[in-house]
Parts: sequence; structure tokens; C-alpha cells
Amino acid sequence: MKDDEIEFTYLKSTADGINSQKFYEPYRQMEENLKNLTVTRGADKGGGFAFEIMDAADHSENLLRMGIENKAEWINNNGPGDVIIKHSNGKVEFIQNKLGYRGTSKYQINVEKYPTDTTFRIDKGNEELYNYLQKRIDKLSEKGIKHNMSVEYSEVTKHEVEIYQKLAKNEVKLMDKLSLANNKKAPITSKLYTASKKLNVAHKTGVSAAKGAAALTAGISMGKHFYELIEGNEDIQQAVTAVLKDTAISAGSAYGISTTLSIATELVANTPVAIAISAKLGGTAFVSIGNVVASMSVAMGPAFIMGLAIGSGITACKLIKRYNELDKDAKRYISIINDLTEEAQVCMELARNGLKETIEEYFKEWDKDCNKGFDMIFTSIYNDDVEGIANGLDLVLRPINGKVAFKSVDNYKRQLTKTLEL
Amino acid sequence: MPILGTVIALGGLVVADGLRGAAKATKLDEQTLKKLGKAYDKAIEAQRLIKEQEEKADRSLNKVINRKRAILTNTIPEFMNIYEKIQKINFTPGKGIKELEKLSLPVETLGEIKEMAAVVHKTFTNTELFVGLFLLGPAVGGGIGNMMIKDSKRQLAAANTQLRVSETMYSQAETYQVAYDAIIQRAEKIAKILSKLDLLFYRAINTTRDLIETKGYDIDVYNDNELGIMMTCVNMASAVKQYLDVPLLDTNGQVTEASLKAIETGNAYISKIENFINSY
Repeated sequence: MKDDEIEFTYLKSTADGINSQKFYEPYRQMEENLKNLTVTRGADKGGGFAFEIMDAADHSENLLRMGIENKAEWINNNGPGDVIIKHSNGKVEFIQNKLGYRGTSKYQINVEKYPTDTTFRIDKGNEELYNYLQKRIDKLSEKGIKHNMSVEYSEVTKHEVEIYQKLAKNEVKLMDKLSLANNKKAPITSKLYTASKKLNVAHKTGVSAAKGAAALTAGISMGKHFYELIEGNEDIQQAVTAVLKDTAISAGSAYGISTTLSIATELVANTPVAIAISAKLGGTAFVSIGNVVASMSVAMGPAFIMGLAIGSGITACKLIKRYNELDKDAKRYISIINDLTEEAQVCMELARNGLKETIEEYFKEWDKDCNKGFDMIFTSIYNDDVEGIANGLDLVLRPINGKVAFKSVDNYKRQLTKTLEL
Repeated sequence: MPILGTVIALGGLVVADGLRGAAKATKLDEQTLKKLGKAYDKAIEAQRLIKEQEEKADRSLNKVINRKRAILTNTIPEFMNIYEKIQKINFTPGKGIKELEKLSLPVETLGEIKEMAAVVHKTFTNTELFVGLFLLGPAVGGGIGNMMIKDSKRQLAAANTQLRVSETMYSQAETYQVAYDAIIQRAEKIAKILSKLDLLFYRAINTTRDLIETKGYDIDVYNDNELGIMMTCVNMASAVKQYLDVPLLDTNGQVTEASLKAIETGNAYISKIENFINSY
């Protein structure tokens, strides 16, 4: 297995931007609600309820960003509102979530039956429903009915809900196939979705995927089975089974049986590299293949990945040996630099001390000659001793390898007819 | 014997391991940041030290230049004016005088100290990630938590090493400091000696002027004492001239040689360290 075939990404979920923490709160609640939602609940098999829960979280996040602490709470009953917001002035805002309702089905919505403080929140980009509801609301005003009704787009799209539903149902199907109890709920899918929303929060708050000392990147090439699955050509069950068959570790087959696999496609938008393990996410890893994000429970990891590795002829032993070598390598790198710096500092200190000694000695001699020379000059001036002055000057000139011009009057006299060279 | 990850379908175990790892790793990262801060501060301090000495050296050299120029403009012409009538003078400017014409400071003396090389921690290779995260269990150093800690430990080790590198740079800066000190000392001494000699020279010129005014320009009528006065004046002129001829920087001198050698020793090590860091 070549190194560049393995790509994996993870980010430490440390402070992860203290600023992000409060924005995660709505999504924590969302995860709880989605986890407990029966996948087949409701006329449209749960999609509407999922939308309500998802939108409530999004809405709450936006309110927080606007500095409004009141959150949008999902009400799990058939009351007047799917979601309510209790404002600080005591006012209660009712939210009615409407997902889809295209074509003739939109006529089922009778705005008059809702409280006059209702806000309709519909799936993003659903212009048809938006226009319809707005018209109906305007009609109320024309009739003279006092109200505060309005219609808004949610950030959640129908497509997003549909994908979530598909995955949730697949999770239930797989659990059934593997004879695992599930109560028709999809806790793993809810976790994945929450993770993707948290990533978006992190992005919005300015935390990039590369932030933090622990951002490491690589990506895992998934292999044929999963790629086809992601492309929608293969059923999850078949994919899991096929992978398990590839696994050469018989003991590891226990991993396959006792775990499940979730695939979330297109849930994380705009992530050039998938951001992965956060301990708070229960060790779910996101793995990227280009723009498609797939996830797998780390618990599933060993069996599945080993299947791929062994399929390409690499044994666990070899890999662990290589791991140890690389670890030693990393330590050796540091150790060599440390040795070099130690040696450098010792030698540099020696050289510096040697230099100081040389300088001291040199200037000591200089000072000795000059001081003696000037002393001699001044004494000789006092004594009218021109030769003494000459000798003094000679000493003063010694440090620069110079010499006095004339040491005696006779020498001076002899050259008077010549040109004086200065 | 491969030890397969014990992180099976126990989500709780993974969470605990990850949280523990993240907590410890965060603490290590804080230490790392502090060390890196120290390292970079030290490197900046090293640069600053050298810059400071360079500026001091410039000031000292400037002093010498100014003194030389003053003597060349005042005392020497005065001497020439008086003595030329006694004896013909051939004044040949030496190196130390010629360089005054085109000298610009700061003078490139000892070369520049290099920028500190950055010690980069070894990030996990893909193989290490794969093995650490998927093959080894937490009990044997694998798993998310341990990998996070391992990564943080590597970064801390790199930061500690960076600090050592910065200390090495600082040590080199200290060598530069000593070398510049030598330049400064020499310049100060020359300036002081020129000052003293100039004073004596000026006195000698005045005495000579007075003598010539009394005795005239015919040197043959001067007695030995009077010739002694003339000789002293010429000796002073010669001594001052020799000091004027001394170049500002003693490029071939014993001290310069020793300075450059000491600096070269340091630079050789710094290059070696840098090459190793960059080549790995």
C-alpha cells in the first residue's frame, strides 16, 4: 500500500474555538431529538419531523449569532406550533415548519387555523410554497384580520432532509439485516448529521480545518466497493458484506458483525478536506474522496481497513514495524539537531573566549606602549630632551607598526637637503 | 504480533480515549507555544544585539573620520605652510587618508548573521496514522487519544529544539559582539591618540613658527637645540601622518583575523544545523 493511497484527516476537538461552543448547543439538542425520532413516523415517513428538528437548530444558531439567547424549541406534539420561541418580553412565537408541499398538496395548508403569531418556515428555495403562503397571509390582512404572520425560508433544504432520511432508513435496514435491535431509530445517522452541522458552525466562526496544532491531513482511498456505494450503485448491505468477505482476519470478523456502517454523502458542504475525529462525536471519522464525504465509525475501522490493506499484500506486522521505524526516525531528527546545537555552543564559546583573550592581549600591549610613549614625551618636553621626545613617539607608533622619523638631531641634519617624505 | 485495535463497537471507550488525549495534548500544546515564543524572542534578541554593536562601531569609526578630517584640514596645512620654506615636503596620502574620500558607513565588516532555521515537527506519515489509529489499541500507544498526545509531544520536542537553535544563534551574536567590540576599541584608541598627538603637534608648530620668525629660513644658522625643535616638529608631523594613514578597519590585522575565524566557526555550525533541518 503506498502512502499516497491512504488519506485521512482529523482535527483535535480541543477548544475548537471557544467561540464555537455556544453555537453547538442547538445541535446537541438536535442530535438528541433526531436520535429519538422513529424513522418511519409521520405520513411522509418522518421527513417532516426531521425538518422541524433540523430547522429549529439552525434557527437557534442564527438567533444566537444575532445576540438573541432565546432558542427555537421543537415541540414533540401535535400542538399549534412545531417549534416555539419564548421571547424575553413574554411573547411566544409559533413556528410552523412546512417541507415540500409542492403542487396541489400546498392547498392543504390553511393559514387561518394557525395562531396569529405564527411564522411559517419552509424549506430553502421553495418559491412555490413561499409565494402561496404569502398570498394567503396577505388575504388575511385584506379581510381585516389582525395578525403577525409571516413566511421565511429555512436554511435547510428538502434535499438535505431527503438524504438524511435515506441514510436513517438505511441504518435501520442494516441493523435489521444484522439482527441488531434498533427500535426503528437511527442514532448514528443523527450523530453524523450533527457532526456536519458542527463543522459548518466551526467554519462560520472562523475555525478552519487546518486550525490547531493537531490538524493532520491525509485521505483514505476507499476502494472499489465504497466508491460505487457513494455513487449510488450499490446497496449498503451488499457493500458491507463484500468488504467483510475481503477481510483476512478471522478474529476481526467479530468487528464487522458487531458494528454498523453509515454513509453520509453531501452532508458536509464546501469542505475541501473532510474534518474528522472529534472525541465528542464518539470517534466518528470522516474520510474524503475528493468532494464526497464518507464516514465510518472508527470502531469499524480495523476490520474494514485491514481488509483493504491485506488485500494489497501488506501485513499488519509490516505496517507496525514501519510505524516503529518512522517513530524512531522522528525522534532521531530531533536528537541530531540537539547534538549539533550542543556541540556548536561549546565550540562557539571556546572560539569566543579565545578571541577575547587575543583582543585583550593585543590592546594591553597597545596601551602599554602608548602610555609609556606619552609619558616619555611629556617628561622629555619638560626636560627639553628632543631625543627623549623622539623615543616616546617611537613607542606611540609601535602599535601601528610605525617608526619615528628622526631619532637624533644628526640624522635630521643629514637629510635637510633632501625632500622630506611624509 | 499485530495487536488489533480494541476500539470495537464501544463508542464510549473511544470517546473517553479521545477526550483524555485531547485534554493532555492541549496542555502539551500550551507548553509548546511558550517554548516557541521564547525561541523566537531569543532569535530576535540575537539580531538586536548585533545591530546595536554595529551602530556603536559606526559611531566610533565616525569619530575617527571626523578627527582625521579635522587634522587634514587644519593642522597639516599649517605645518606645510610653515615648514615648506625650510625643506621641500612630499606629502603622499596613505590608505587611511584615501579611504576618507569615498567612505560610507555603515562599513561592511563582519558580515550578517543568518536567519534562524525553523525546526518543523515531523507530522505523522500516512502509515503512522493508519497504524496508530487503526491497528494499535490504546493500551499499546495507539488510538485517537494517544496519537493526539504523540503528535503534541513531537511538537513540544521540536519547540525545545527550536529553543536550542535560537540559543546557538544568540551565542553567535555574542561572538559578533566581541568582534565589534574590538573594532570599537581600536577606533577609540586611534581617535584618542590622534587627539593627543594633534595637540602636541600644534604646540610644536607654534614653537617652530616662533623660531623661524626669529631666526629666518636659513637652516644653516640654526644651532643644535634649534634644530632639535625643528626635528621635533617634523617628528610630530610624521607621527600624526602615520596615524592618519592607518585604515579604519584593520583587515589584515591579528585581531581581525581572530575575529573572522571565531565568527566563521559559529557560521559553519549554524549552516550545518540549517542544512540538516532543511534536508530532512
